[in-house]
Amino acid sequence: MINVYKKLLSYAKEKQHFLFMTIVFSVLAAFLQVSGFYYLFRLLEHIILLDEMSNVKRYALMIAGVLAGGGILYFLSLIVSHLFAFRIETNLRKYGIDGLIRASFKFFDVNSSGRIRKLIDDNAAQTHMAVAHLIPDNTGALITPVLVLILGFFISLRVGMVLLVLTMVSLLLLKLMMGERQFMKTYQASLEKLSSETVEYIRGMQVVKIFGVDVKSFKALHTAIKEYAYNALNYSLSSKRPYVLFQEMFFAIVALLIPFILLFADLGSDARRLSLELIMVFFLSGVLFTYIMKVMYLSMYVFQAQDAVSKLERLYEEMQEDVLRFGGRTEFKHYAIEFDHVSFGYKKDSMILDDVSFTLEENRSYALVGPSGSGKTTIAKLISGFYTINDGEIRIGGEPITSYTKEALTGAISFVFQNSKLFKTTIYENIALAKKDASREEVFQAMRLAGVDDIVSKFKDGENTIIGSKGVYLSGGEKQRVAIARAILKDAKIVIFDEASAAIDPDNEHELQKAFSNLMKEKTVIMIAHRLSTIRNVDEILVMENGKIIERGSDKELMGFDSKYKRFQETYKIANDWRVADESVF
Amino acid sequence: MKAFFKKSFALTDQGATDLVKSSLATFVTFFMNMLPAMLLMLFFDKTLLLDERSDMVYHLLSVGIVLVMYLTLSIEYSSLYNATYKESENLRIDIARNIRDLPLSYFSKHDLTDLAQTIMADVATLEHALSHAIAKLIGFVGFFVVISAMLLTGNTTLALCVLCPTLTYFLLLLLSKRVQTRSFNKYYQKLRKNSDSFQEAIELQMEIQSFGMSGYIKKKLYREVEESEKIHIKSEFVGATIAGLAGLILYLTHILVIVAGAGLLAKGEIHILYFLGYLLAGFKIKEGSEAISFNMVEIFYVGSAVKRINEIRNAKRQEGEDTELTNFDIELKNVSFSYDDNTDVLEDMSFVAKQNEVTALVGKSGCGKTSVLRLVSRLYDATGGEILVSNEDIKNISTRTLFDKISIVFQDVTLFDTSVMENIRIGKPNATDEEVKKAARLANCEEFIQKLENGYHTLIGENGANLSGGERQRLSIARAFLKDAPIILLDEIVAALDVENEKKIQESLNKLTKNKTVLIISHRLKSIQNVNKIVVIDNGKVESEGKHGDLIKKSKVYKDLIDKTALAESFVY
Repeated sequence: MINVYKKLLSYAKEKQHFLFMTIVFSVLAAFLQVSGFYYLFRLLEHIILLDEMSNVKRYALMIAGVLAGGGILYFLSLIVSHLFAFRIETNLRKYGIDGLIRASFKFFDVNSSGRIRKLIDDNAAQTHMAVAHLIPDNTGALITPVLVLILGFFISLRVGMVLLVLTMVSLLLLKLMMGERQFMKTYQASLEKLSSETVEYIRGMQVVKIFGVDVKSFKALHTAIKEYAYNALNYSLSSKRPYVLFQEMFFAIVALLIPFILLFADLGSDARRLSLELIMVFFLSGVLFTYIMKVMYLSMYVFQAQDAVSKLERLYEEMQEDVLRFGGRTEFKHYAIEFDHVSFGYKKDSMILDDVSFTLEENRSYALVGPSGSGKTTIAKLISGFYTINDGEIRIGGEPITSYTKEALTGAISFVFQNSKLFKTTIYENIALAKKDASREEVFQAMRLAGVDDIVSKFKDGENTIIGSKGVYLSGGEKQRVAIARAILKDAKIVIFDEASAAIDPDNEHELQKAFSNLMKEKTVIMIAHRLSTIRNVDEILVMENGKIIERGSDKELMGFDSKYKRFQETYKIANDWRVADESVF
Repeated sequence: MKAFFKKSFALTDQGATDLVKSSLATFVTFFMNMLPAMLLMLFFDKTLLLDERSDMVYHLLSVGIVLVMYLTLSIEYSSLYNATYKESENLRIDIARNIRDLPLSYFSKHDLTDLAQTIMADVATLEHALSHAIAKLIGFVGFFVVISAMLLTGNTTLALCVLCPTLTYFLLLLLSKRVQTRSFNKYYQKLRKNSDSFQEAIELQMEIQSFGMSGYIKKKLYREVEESEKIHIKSEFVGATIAGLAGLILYLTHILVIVAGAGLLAKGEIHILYFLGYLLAGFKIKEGSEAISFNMVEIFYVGSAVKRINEIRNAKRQEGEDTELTNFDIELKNVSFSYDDNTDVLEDMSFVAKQNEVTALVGKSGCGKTSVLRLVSRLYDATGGEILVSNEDIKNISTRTLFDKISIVFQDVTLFDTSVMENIRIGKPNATDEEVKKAARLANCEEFIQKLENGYHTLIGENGANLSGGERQRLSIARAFLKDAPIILLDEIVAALDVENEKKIQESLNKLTKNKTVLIISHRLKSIQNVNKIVVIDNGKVESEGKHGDLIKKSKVYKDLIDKTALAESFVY
């Protein structure tokens, strides 16, 4: 329990005093609450034992004042604990942001964006719910029963003993029900199973409907639902007896005591005193019940808070795996790129690049060619320093890329991604972000060279059109042109172009080609092109297969013998000339 | 009552019945829990007023009360908890069934994780409320009404002292809820905005790193979460203050009962037993009210979960009759369509795709050609006009009959985490292994399947994670072969592939499309030059239609596209 506090506290150090205030307030609240019952006792003492009415009004006000004071303090402690909890939530989100900003690219490859966002969102929110109630209720639940017992013994030994026994037995019964911790685990596990089955079920729904299959994955979901319900029901059944007894003890305490009183107490002389004590037992057992019930919810809150924080921490750890390292070098001697026995894989057991070595000269153009999955895009990403390699070294300008500062490295390379993405802001801003102090003229120049001026002329707001607003649609090819404009503005020495084959439409392809050739001028260029006819003039072509470079040379050289490259070019030609319903194929 | 419960809490029939039962059980339990207090009063009658009742009466009453309470508490427990888990099971199954019957468009419009959330988290929320809050509250309301009447018949003044603060308390709580809901909406909107920003930051990770924007993004996100903390505090503050005030008002119960009671007692107008009785009632009702207020809060929160569940239940179903389809021409008649009821994607579109012919749709990106395929496959329903198959509007054909006659091969292929064999068999659930293998051969799959560890029995991982894009696509073509439907829709399927894969797929496509009604979209204009009919779409309308040779002459859009393709093809960097 203390560990949970410590952990939570570590996420909101600047609001430490809130935690202490909450605890102080709730301790005072508990104290006032119980003293309310003390004054009630005095009042009843006057009425029942002494038959005296004169002080009644005073006591009434005392009771009400003390109880109300306790109420106010409890309320204050709740407010402070909410503020504390909100801050924890905020800080946990910030913690997530820090993680995101520094996370490795591998992390983003492995986890879907929706899942990451949901994990951060849900768990941060979950902690706030738990923390807000955990602290005040926890303190109250620990202090109040003790104070009630003290008051009980103050009233009389008999009352104290009855309340003590009641507390002990109820704690024992609670313990019986608290297979809970174990149950929480089983429960959580079956919930998670249920959740993954549900996702699978929904994911397959389209196919299932179109093919008219009787929902196959439904069986798994059905089982998961049943299992979950079964676990929950079993727990519920096992807790039934202790919980019913627990309630019975508190609610029926008077009925349980009266026979004993009749059998063992001397009603003749002690009747009034006994009545007073009995009524106090009735009141105080009610207070005990309320707080012991809270203990039950508490274990749930503790579990939730712990679970949420540890989920976030695990996610954060994952983010930090393979985080990139940078050095202090800011200047490049030149921009030649060297791969020296580089091996790399997204997973430890399967390497995508296997002991690859090559050098790319400055200011020359290169094309990477090979079947999908051969490692072309991976090479491009590794040059940009997006991943930590498993073995070997990558150098730019003769120095390992890890020896440069992050700014220097990202400043030296422009990467036009296959699925270039745009921020939800104006098209102008989307381009201008590539160079901090770019003048308007420079941005427009880049737009012209990338053919973005054609795109913006379609919209009535021109370059101020906001991406993602109503009726604004950019095709994949158009998005890539915006990305190329960015790269032109950035004017980095090394340019990498991963052509978006899927997103290209005939309307766009030529514009894209023109845009990219504007970007290529006087740069070290690495391109991954899908239209093989376009790369015939690049300085060198690197042919890849299964994570290795198997051929390298100019188009002319490679076409000169029975190369893989030649085969690719020939297949490409056939594929490009293929026609649907072409009789000659049959 | 049952119907009301069913609607208010999105329950099944059984669930609503159980809720009625459990509410009744808690109602009775509340009364039974009063018995000890009554016994106490009776006992005071003996101890304070020296009534001459025999001890045996008290013994019997005590034992009787203990037994009766045990019985009612047990019944209440079973009716609350055990029934709840049964209900959550039924509810989940019911929602899963409902989801199965939703139109495909529902899935395109909604986030899958949101849907999954509804089955999972929302039912869990509801489940907790059902076992802990709802029946208790209902039982309490009933109990409160009856006990109020009983108190009032005793001593009106003291009864009012107990009841007025309690009623005020609940009224204030309801008020605070209303205030809170209003300000909460603002907070939720902010949260949603934050989520969008987070999502953007995650999705644009590469861009952010490449352009050194991390610092900027971090600051922006920090600012947003700080703002949302402020809004959160504000949104809870008003409601919380009212609720806090309400809590204080509840203490009036004690003051009023003690002061008024003592006054009456002093004047000799009431008996001491009355005084003690109302004092007990005051304390117990206050305790009960506080406990119930937690339940109320929980029920307030259940609202959004209930709303989401009901939304799925009430979503519009695609209707239509099972129809014998005899001819498979597809005819679009003045079809119009928009995704958001605002901007028309298709306007007054008409053309015919004939049986045994290949019809290709061409046009610039964003012209609406993909929407046409979505309409024909009833992923969406047209907003105007009609689409005819077998001279029947497809809106009147049950999706079951229609889907039976259509094969769709789209860019994104959904595969299941099971064997290759089973993934293909989805095309025709009762196909023999031999038929599956034949389809795989026709789709050029056999070669790569045989290379897999266990051949056809290899498990392919979640959504076929272990297969390349080309291989996945070929599996989906194998499904289409197996299904052998008379209508085939192809959307841009070779776009994302490398040449090797592309060639293989092309070969199998020519076999697949033979003697079928084929509707195809392809960016590669050359590939569709020989089809029977090309429909040129521009801005959601048919610009012209015909064969390649005619269109070159008469269609400006088509000619333009052809010219641009030629430029792209002859381009060399």
